[in-house]
Amino acid sequence: MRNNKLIFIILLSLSNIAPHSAFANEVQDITITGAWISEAPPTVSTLAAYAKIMNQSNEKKILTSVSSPTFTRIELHLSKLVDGMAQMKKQDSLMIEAENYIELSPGAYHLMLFNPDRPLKAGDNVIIHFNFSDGSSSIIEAPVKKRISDAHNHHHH
Amino acid sequence: MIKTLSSSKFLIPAMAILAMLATSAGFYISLKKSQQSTQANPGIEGLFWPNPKQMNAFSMLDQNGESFGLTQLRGKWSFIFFGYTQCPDVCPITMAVMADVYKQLALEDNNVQVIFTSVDPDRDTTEILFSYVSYFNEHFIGLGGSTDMVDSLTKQIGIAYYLNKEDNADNYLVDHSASIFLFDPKARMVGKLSPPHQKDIIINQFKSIQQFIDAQQ
Repeated sequence: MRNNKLIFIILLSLSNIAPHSAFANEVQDITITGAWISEAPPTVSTLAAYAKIMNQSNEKKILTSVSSPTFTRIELHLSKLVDGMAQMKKQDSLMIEAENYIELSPGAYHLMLFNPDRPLKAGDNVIIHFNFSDGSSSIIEAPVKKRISDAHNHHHH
Repeated sequence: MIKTLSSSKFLIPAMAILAMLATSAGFYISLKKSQQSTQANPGIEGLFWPNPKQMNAFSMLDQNGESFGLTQLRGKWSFIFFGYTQCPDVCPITMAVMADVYKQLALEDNNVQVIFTSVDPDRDTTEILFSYVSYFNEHFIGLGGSTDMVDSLTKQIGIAYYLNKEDNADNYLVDHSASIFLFDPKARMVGKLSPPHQKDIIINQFKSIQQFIDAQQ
């Protein structure tokens, strides 16, 4: 058990070293900011989460999976309008260009979180792992927040 | 032929009859027009005019298990939109916006009701609808029932929806109209509010439509 933990820590620190950065100890390849999970009515078992994923490296990064100990499954989705119909399309992965970012935001790209292990309320915090194709992971803590009605429009102008 | 007709002694009475018919037809058309609309569409965004759709009977169940139909639309302004409670992104965005819209309109004593209609009645039971709509506002109405009941409303409004059950039988996604439909107190569909939904835009659009419709009475 102790060994496993040690290996985990070693792996974790390895994954945090940016292989193409001249300042491996200072700059991380991926920074995730503004993450939040939308509080939902108690009977709802599929929640949405949003965040800004920044790629500071000079190589594109591909987000291949997202996971959390709190949810049975997390999928990447894109909400879009097709002829006035609201549709969600599951995305297998999400590419973030070098020195660029992608915003997961209401009404656009978002995480779809299935079956929380407990009712989540505003103020709770949830661990989320973002896993990339190069084997690296970013682990963040996302707060649960109440949805406010103008949150939809931040990225539209 | 013309020569025969012009020499006919029936020409003058025939012309008189024709003239009378033409006059009365013209009168009938203008009467019809004035009944339909006293004013042309002034170009209000989303307004259905001069031919708002008069709703026919439909039958659904609300979040308390009570029947909800044409009678419940009469006497109030109704915002109706469609979705499903397991929809994580678009539906709660609309619900949150409408909660703010309703809060402001209710302050101004507007006779308004907000109606979320589930197009996923198999999963969205009465109890789930109750929990869902009251989370956003205790006065919101949630409609469901059965597929036939849902279709009694969606077919009249003219919208489609699609349950993507072949992708995932348990956690299936549902495609649905993203517009909000507006009904006047005579249960006529008088407008459509298109996404992306924003509180101030919806309130302004609603007030313009309401003012116009009220002036037609």
